[in-house]
Amino acid sequence: MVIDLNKCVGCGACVMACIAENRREQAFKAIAEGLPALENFKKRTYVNTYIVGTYPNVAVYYTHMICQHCENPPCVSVCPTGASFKTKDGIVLVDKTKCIGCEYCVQACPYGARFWDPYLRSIDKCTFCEHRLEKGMDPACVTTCPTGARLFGDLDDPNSAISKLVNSGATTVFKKEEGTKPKVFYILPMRKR
Amino acid sequence: MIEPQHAWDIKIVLDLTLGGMGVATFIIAFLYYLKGEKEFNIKAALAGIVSLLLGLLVLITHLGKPEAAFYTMLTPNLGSVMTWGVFFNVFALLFGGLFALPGLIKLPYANNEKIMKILGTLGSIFSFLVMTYTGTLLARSSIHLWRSPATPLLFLLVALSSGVGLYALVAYTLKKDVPGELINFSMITTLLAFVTMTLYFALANISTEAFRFSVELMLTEYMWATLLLYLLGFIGPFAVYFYNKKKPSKTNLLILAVLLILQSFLARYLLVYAGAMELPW
Repeated sequence: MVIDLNKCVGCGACVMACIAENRREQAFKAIAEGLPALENFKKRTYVNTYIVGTYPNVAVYYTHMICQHCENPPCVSVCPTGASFKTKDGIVLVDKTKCIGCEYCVQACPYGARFWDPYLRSIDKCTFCEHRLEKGMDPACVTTCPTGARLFGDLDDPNSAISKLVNSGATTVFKKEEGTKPKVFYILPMRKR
Repeated sequence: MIEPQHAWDIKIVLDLTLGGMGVATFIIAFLYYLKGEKEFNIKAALAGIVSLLLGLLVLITHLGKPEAAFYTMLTPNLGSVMTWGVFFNVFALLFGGLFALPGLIKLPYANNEKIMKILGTLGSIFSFLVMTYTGTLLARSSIHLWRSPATPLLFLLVALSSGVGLYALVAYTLKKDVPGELINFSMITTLLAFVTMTLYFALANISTEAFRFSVELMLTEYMWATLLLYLLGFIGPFAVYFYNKKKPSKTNLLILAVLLILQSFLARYLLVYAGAMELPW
């Protein structure tokens, strides 16, 4: 996945699409439980807003948190039961039956992309909407984004739009020094709104 | 953005403290068992195993889904430090428990020295592995404060200190003498733990932002714990030790034992709670 932070307008549609697609039941339960549950409601993806500078030179930009689906995922290597695993397509997933809730993967992930879901009683995280991919669809956040800030595709296919973009050198990854080789690439904000 | 970790709490601290203390006590008890005093040391070993068991029970209550814990043995990921820890704990409990159980109930092999030595040796080996894996578990994470060879070392040292503490407590309860060399040994581990802990502060300036954030947490929000650790965990044992040299008494040793256990608890508390994660957003 490539996330172009220049195109992001901070609308949060990706966040809502993700909840509607993947965490709808949990969201309903949290709503029924009231404000504290809603305040603690965890999301698979979220957008942070940063306001920098002082008037009149003020700028705003957004960053997107999402599981980085690393090539060397530390969450997978620390999981004691093998509940966290990587598919042959490179997607990092959690087998909810095997997850014991030790939260070691939460401590191991340098991106803070994992969280304990008390409703599922398992660790939860972005799956790249694996169930949609199986049907040939893009992840919900990608489909929903009104500005096309999120681009999804096959990095193994050199002719895909995402491969061309990544190979163009326009993208970067976060925390390269961790050696995790993330598969979510970012185009950093060049023009601040 | 830097955030303090919230996933692990007091239950993990208690598990680490009780587990580390238990296995260290077991090893000490077994070594003195080999030296000659059998009956008392089996009871001391039992206290160690009970402490380890209590720690594991606390750990299980921390798990979000404890009923799935058997998967750690059914489908173990051998690349995970935690998996190895589970096996070390189970074997330490198994062999250590079999060695120490004659302290509670009569068992047919209790008088067979060879069997007892084998059980004690295996129990000690796995106990040592338990002692070393806990710090390694924390070091193998994305939390910069923990991700250092100093963490396993510190955990090993404070485990040994608290092991002497629990051993001394059992000795006090059963009206036995604590060997002087053991008390001296606890002073060495205390000194080394003090140096290791202090290095976290000394090296903060040249460490990462998340590491510095953690050290700042130790000096602000958790200042009380830092102070308690230095006063009660490090300086306290030395004060009591030297006082006891002048005026030896059982009460001194009791206080020393409690302080040594506090040292382990506070050091682990501080490290776990001050852990912070550096997020890229």
